This record gives sequence, C-alpha cells and structure tokens, in this order.
Amino acid sequence: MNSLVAPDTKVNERICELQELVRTSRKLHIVGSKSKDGFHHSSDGATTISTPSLSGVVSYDPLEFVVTLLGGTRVLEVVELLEKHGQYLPFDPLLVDRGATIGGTVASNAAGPGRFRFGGIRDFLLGIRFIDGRGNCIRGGGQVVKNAAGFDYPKLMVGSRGTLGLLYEMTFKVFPKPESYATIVATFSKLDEAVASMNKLASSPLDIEAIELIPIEMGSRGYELAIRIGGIASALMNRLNRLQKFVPVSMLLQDHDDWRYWRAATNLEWARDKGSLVKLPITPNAIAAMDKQCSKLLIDRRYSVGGNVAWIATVWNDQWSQQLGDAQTFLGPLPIEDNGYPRELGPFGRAIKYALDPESKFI
Amino acid sequence: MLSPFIAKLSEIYPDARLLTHDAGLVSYESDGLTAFREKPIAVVLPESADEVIRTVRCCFDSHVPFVARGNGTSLSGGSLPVKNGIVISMNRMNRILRLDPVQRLAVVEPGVINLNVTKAAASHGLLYAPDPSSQSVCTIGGNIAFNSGGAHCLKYGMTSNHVLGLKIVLPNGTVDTLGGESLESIHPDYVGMFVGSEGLFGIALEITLRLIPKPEVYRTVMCAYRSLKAAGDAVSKIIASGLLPGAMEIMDNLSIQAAEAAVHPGYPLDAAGLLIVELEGEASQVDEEFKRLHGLIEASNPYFFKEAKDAFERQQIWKGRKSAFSAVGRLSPDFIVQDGVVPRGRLGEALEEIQRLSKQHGIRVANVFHAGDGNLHPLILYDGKQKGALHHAELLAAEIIELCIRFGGSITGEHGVGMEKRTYLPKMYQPSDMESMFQVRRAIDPTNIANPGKMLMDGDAPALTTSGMHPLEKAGVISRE
Repeated sequence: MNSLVAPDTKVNERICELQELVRTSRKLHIVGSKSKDGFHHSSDGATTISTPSLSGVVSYDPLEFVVTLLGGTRVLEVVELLEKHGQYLPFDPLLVDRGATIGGTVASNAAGPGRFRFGGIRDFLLGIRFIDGRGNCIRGGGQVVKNAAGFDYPKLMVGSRGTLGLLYEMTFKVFPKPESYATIVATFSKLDEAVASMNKLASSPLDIEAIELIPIEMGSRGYELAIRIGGIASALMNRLNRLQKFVPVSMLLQDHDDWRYWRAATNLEWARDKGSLVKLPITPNAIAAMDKQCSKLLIDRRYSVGGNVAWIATVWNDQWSQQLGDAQTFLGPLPIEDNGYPRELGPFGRAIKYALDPESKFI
Repeated sequence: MLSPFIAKLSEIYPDARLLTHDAGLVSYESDGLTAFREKPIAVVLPESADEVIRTVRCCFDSHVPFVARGNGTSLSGGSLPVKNGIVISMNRMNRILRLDPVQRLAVVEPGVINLNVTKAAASHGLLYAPDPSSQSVCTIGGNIAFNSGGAHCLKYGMTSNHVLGLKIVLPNGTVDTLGGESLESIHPDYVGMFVGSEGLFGIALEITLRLIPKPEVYRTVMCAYRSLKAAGDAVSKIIASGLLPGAMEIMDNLSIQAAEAAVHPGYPLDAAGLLIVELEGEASQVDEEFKRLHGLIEASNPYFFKEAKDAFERQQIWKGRKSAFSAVGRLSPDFIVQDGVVPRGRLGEALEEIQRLSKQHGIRVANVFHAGDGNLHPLILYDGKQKGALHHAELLAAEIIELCIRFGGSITGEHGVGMEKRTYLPKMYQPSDMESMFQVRRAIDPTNIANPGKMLMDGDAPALTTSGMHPLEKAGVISRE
C-alpha cells in the first residue's frame, strides 16, 4: 500500500470543526480553490467554507487501482501521483493547472474530453464522505470497484454544487494509462460534414479517447475535429492509418504536441478573456441549430465529448441567456438567473434536498 | 365481494389484467431468491405508463404497498411481494420506443428484456453493454432497480453507467423526469441515485439507455491451474500489467464439473481453477494486448491453455461460465448464491478463507466469480428438505458476508441487498449512514409503500420456506451469476 496518509488526528479535528460550523450556521457556501469562479454566486449572509484545508491522499494502492483523497486535494497532485504508477483518471478533470480541487471537480462535474471513452466522474467515483445539513458525517458507496449496497450517494454528489453536503473525502477507481497517444485534426468547410464525420467515428469500432468539434475563427473558416487515440505504441501507427480513411487529416499531433494540445483543452485555455464560459449538456443533433445562433451572435464555442457538451464563451447578453435552457456557468461573471441551480427542482430532487439538508443551509 | 381497493383497481384494469385468485397469484409469490415466499393480494398487468401511474396513486390513497416486477429474476428477493400488497407486473410494457443509432441511444419501456435491446442495437453495429447472466429473461426495469452487473463490468461498468435518463413515478404518484439524452448533466446525478434504489424510490416508466459501438474483435482464452490461488495470482499479474480486459472470470473445480456435465463447453475436468480472460476492442490494439497477455499467462504456468478460435468457441466458453450456477444446482437440490466483493489484491486470501469455512461447516461451496473486479459468487449447497440445513447454510453465508466487510469490500457487487442481505447493510455502514438512507427514503416515500422491507429493514419479513429452484432456472432458461 502506497499511502501518503494525511495526519489523521488533525484531519479528524478539522472535520469535527466543520460539522460544528454546519450545525451552527444558517447559510453555508462551500468553495474549493475557486478555479471555477462561475459557481460562486452571490452568497450574502452565508458563511463560506473553504475545503483546501482538508487535503491529502488518504490511501492509494496502485495494484488495486483505487485512490482515496481528501476533498481539498489539488487535482494536479493527484494526476502527478497516478502518473508515476502509469495510471490516470480517464475523465480528464478540467482546470488542473488552475488549481482545481478534487472536491470541486466532483461537485461541479468538471469532466473533460476524455470523458468520451470510458465515462465521466459518475463512472469513476466509488465512494464518498460528506457532512450533511444536520452536521452528520455520512459515508456512501465503498472502496471496491464493484458495489451495489445502499443508495448511490457517490453518483448523487456528482454535479451537486455543494448544495447537498460538504464533500470531504472521495474514492476513485483509476485506470491504466495508455502508454502512447496521437491526435488527428481534420478540417471541414461545412458544419454538417464535421458533425456527420463525428457521429460516424463515434459509432465505429475504432477505440477513440476523445472527439472535439471546434469552429475555426467562430466558424467563419470552417470546423475542425480533433480525434485522439491511445494505446500500445506498436499498434498506434496502424490505427492512425486506419483513422485517416475516415477523415481528411490536416494535422497529426504526437508525443509532447499531443499532450500539450489536450492539456490546453482541459484547462479551457481557448475560453480565457472571453467573458463567461457556460456548459450545456446536449446531443449531437442539437449542434446545427445552436451553432447557427452562436455564429449569428459572434459567440465562440466548442462541442466536446463527441457532441454531448457545448461550451459557450461569451460576454453575457440577457436575451441569449433565456434561450439556453439547462446551462451552468463555469467561468466568469454570473449571467444566468440564480446561476441555473437551484433552478426548478423536480419532486425527486426536492425530496432529496429536504432529506439531506432540511433547513436548506447549503446554497 | 371485492374490497374497495380491488374495486378501484378494476376501474383501471379489465379482468384479464387484474389477478386476484390464488391460481393467478401463485407464480408471483417468489423470485430468483426462492427461499422467501409471499402471496400478494393482487397482481396487475399494466400496458401503459398511465396505468402504472394510476395504480401507484391508487396504492398511495389506500396505503397499500406495491412491488414492481419484471420477470422475477432477482437473486436478492428484490421483487418478492410485500404482505398485504400488490405486484405491478411490468413485462407487458416491453416496447423499444426509439432507437437512435446516430446518437447511440435507445428509449425503452421497463419491461423490455435486456437481450432484446442488445439484439435491436446489433444491426447498427452497436451494443448495450450490461450483460447479466439472466440477460435472455431479465428486464431493463429490474436491471435499473438493482443496478445489475454481469461479466463485462470491468471495462464498462454496471447498469447505472449506461442509463442516461429516466421518467419515473414516485411513490405518491407524481411523475418526474431525471437526466436526459446527453452523456453529461449539470444537475446532481439523480439518475445515478435512482438506479440501484431497489424499488424504494418508485417505478421507472421510460428509460433512455446509452449504446456503445460493438467491439471489433474479441480474443477469449481459458487456462487451467492446479490451484485456485494460482488462478487468482494470474489475475493480479494481468491487472498489475496495465492491461484492461473486458472480462476476467474464475471457476473452481466443483463449478467446472457441473458446467461441463450440463453444457459441455470443453473445460478441463481436473482443474482446481479455470481462468477465462477476454480482450476486446480494435483489432490491431487487441493483437498487441494479446501478445502481452500471452506472456503473462505463460509466466503464470497453467497446465492447460486454449484460445477460442472463432465465435462458436468463444460462445462455448461463455456458455459454460454463464450456465455454471444452474449447473451447480444439479449437484444439490438447493443453494444460496452470494455476491460479496473484496479488494482484488485479497482475492486469493478470501478464497482460502471460504474453503476453510466450507470445511469447518461441512458444507460444500462452489466458487464462480468475476475475478477482475473482486466480485465473489460462492454457492452454498444444501438440501432444503433436511431439517436445519437452510439455517446452517445461512450461518456459513453470514460468515462469508462478514469476511467481505472485514476485508474492506461490499456485501453485494451486483445482486443488490433486497430481502437477502438487509440485515448486513448496517454492518457495512455506520448508524449515521443508515439513518441518512432512512431520511432519504422517508422524504421520497413517507407512507412506506414502495417495495417496503427491501434493502432497509422497515417492513414485515415474509416467512422463510425451504426453497427450491426458480421454475425458469429449472428449465435452464436463467442462471444465477
């Protein structure tokens, strides 16, 4: 067991303090490193709890492919630790170089392009510990890769934005990292051709790590598909040749170039200094209409995870925000009314909120 | 004369779809966990979501408990009727409403049989990944309720990992929509919370499933060892090497014998441990992976090695594995099947401990398990006609479950808690964790009518009987995985 155990007593003391804080506070707003500033809506009168004081690797057994982390741990540290053992979090956590914490990553469901292949945070989070609205410490899930006992709190907490409890410890399944990667960038003059190629690839038996659809200069110069594959080095060239039969290749990225390209993508570098960055869950069929609208309003955007996520980078405009529907601001000032959540909760969501946080302390 | 409640149901259902007489009810009184039986007061056979919603409202108004049931293959007693309650049998709602090959999703009714989704997807080169052993009979609705697994969880996860959206009716009759069609969401993962809630949160009415491209090639091998431990060690080495096989299964000698007698898959009869490994994916990648796998297996020194040469041989290997449990049933009139999980690194230790317990109790235990993810399936053999035999077998079962908890694992990997393991859930979780689950349960179902008594101990326990095989199991249609 390779275990960098955070000093237990200190951690336990801190957790007890946080429990007391939850019990005695009226309103609470939980923050990690604030790398996703779009989540930090106005919280007047609320006590802010910052989780980075709870950080460290609780346990990591590379042979078991399972790691347990305190919520305030920086994702970068985790990525580096796993890398030493040839392992990784396949869902490509976002904003790693901007200080993202693991708790914030779970609470905001901040998965990147690699989510395409093996699944998102929901698919890799095995266990969770959190403080509920009553100040109780609750554990859900477990530390083994397969578990069907009890309600699935780990999944519930993915995307919960700190509104259901303070997440302080989480256990992830990790995977062996492909020993080599390569990326093909294909250019299309028309959006529908790019979308058709994306769908064709995503339905093919080619094992693809990520597919991103990117308008070039806001679509005025066409669209590109970035397609990443990974695996055993000796098979990669063969697979690249095969991939080239599917799409018109304009660029091939390997080794460090490949790494740098995707690192920039997961750090959302393209969206810097463009106002706010908003995430919308979509399906490929929604892209055509959305892109037309964005193009008209000169809004920059990208379609991630094989057309399952739209990222929209824009200086806000009210008219546009009302048309968005389900959307969450990740970066920048707060354009969406009530920051999207808690938007209208359905009866299931309301019941769960009431059960875990009866006095609605977590905002 | 009809009770007022039955009279209300008869306003929703014609006579043929509202069963109230013993002869009609008897086939619903048990499920895949045959040790429990309970007769419902009525069984209804809805054909539309609207009928299900009206039925649930009717139950809510009259405080009558209900259990939704697919084809009754639950191995944990999940679809066992509740005393003085009704069964809502979902298997007539079996339509695939939409299959979208371009966006790779299927919208289905809950009574659709698992394998039928896979069949419908296959013509588009797609696959519905979760493959419980009972896939030819079990329904998607039941898979949702119990977050069913299968042999291929290692790479692609369980049912929950393949559900995108749900339309549900809550226990008070209100309808809600969770998730959607996208792989991603910006809300708490309510879909993930609903899946595996064992019917305690209501009934799924419409389900959006994720489909994935069918792997281009499979390479399936089996190898035999002189000891179970050697097979377990080979698994540890394969995992540590960084390979990610689609499946890794181990069978012990008793299961090998039984499977060979039942379906003749060509297993070596004298093996103490048989290991099945399957690689899947893009051909050139899998070829390279296979070279590595072959090297690792050679180093593990099996005395027998065979690769499936074609689809037929692959199917034979899996047929033996998937029929192992019903086959073991031929060796004994009754058995308890368990489904605990241990950390993969402690698999060998756990198996030795189970063998020790088996000897100590003088009860035969056969082992078949998903080695790749530490999911054990010990089968405890007993004869229900012998006085005290079931009780004795349960004592041994309890020790094995406690072993899994002690090793830092779980009491269930894929069968769910149901009736069978509900006394063990509080041993796996702290009182505060349990209380939280009760709080959630009460908030969603304040009158305690949705499958009460399953998972959480808050209902009347039906009487234990001396078991026997499930009728479908006897017929060889389903098997316990």
